Amino acid sequence: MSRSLRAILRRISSGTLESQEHQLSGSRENEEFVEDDDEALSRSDTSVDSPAVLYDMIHSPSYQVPVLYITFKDEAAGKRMPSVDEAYELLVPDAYRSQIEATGVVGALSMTDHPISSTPAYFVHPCQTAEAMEAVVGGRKTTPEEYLLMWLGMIGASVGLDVPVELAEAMSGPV
Amino acid sequence: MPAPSSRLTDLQRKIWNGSIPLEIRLAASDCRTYDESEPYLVQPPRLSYLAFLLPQLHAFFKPSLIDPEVHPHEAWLSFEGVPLKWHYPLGLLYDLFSGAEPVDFDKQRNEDPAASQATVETASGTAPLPWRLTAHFTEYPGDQLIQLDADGRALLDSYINAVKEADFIRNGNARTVMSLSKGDSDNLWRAVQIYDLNLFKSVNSKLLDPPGMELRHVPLKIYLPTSASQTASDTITEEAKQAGHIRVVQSLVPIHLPSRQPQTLGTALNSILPSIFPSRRNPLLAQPVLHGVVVPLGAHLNDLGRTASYLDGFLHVAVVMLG
Repeated sequence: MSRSLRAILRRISSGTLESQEHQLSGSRENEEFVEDDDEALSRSDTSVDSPAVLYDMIHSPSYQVPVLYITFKDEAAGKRMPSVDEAYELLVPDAYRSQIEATGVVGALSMTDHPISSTPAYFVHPCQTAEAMEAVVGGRKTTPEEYLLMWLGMIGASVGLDVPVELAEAMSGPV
Repeated sequence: MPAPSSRLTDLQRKIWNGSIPLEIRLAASDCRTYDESEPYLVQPPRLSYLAFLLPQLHAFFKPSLIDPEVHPHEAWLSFEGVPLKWHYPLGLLYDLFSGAEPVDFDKQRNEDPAASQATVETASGTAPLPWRLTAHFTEYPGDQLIQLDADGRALLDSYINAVKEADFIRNGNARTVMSLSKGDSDNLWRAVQIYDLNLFKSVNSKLLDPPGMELRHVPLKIYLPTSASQTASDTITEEAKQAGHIRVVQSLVPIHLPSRQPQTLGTALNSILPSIFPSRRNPLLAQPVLHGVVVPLGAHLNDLGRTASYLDGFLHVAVVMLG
């Protein structure tokens, strides 16, 4: 996915949403999913002081779908990441809890190394994503933005990532 | 030219039997007698995982621990200050961090034409063995290492996720691994824990040759030390500060090229990392290292995948820069 889209998501989750119109125009040039983007990571990592949940959407070369990575940052908690159970408590609305645990449409929450920082992060397991997205998209042709909005609605909502109205409007509006 | 299957089986057994002697010392800050505790000596298999050593390490060091009530799963290992990741097999960690020069059969053959029977035993004696590691029982680096638990659940999950991913890469779906019986998947993990080749193969063969599936891609992960990745991109300053940072590169690698020729390690590396592997045949800037040996770029990826993969189904290839 385009690097600018990922940078937007990181800033939103760390509470520093800025006007993003100039960023979005960049996404048109790059319709293909770009795998990694080191610039986005080093820029936002150093600016987060208060406890934060950082969401990254990173294209998986193995599964060929976007994957949602979740990093917890809390200086007060020292170096400990929340356990899987604690992560569920913190992120998942009760309504979705049994669904995500039954690994139906949305994969389970697992720990791994973040593909770029190589530090521990949670991720929503993508093995069902392709099939689930096919069901949602049907045979329609979608733009990357439309695909991602649907993907966010499906995967993101289950781990507390709602799409802010401003972002949804910016993504669907004419560019 | 594809290798005959008997030689592949032979090679697979040799790799399975590979091991690395370790000399593990207790961190002075965790030790009642500061730096005077005896080291723990062990020689685990290259393909295995360091976490399996934790119960014995804990039992061995317990008399010297400042806090003997600490749990085995709170322990962690480091090499020269770098915490060692649990889900990296020992052989990969050694290839990446030990500083040992990989065995290069081509180079040996060129330097001594009479040595056509070059073996690992005759390799240059620059390997730092035993590999000296430090065991810690406090200040777990949770920002760098995955948290373990008493039941070994985190380790199992990590392993199974890798096996699923490898399966997905091979076939384009994870149906084969998801349809393994409970007995089979239990046996697979058991084979990893007790390190039994026959038990392992009995399940793994179902993953390598699923009926009705055509293998499409070879599971491959490439590890670039920071110095290599800096030549590839100058913006990774944040990562360079973190000692021992490795950049992991993955890309879908088809078994065949569009021309229907078999994919070799060289064609794969050239397409994934062209700035580091500009030639498909000759390692000009860097060498690929697997199980301590420089792999010829002409090796067929399909053969490599079947013979030289680690227990999770992946080829974990370390890139060593030349010069």
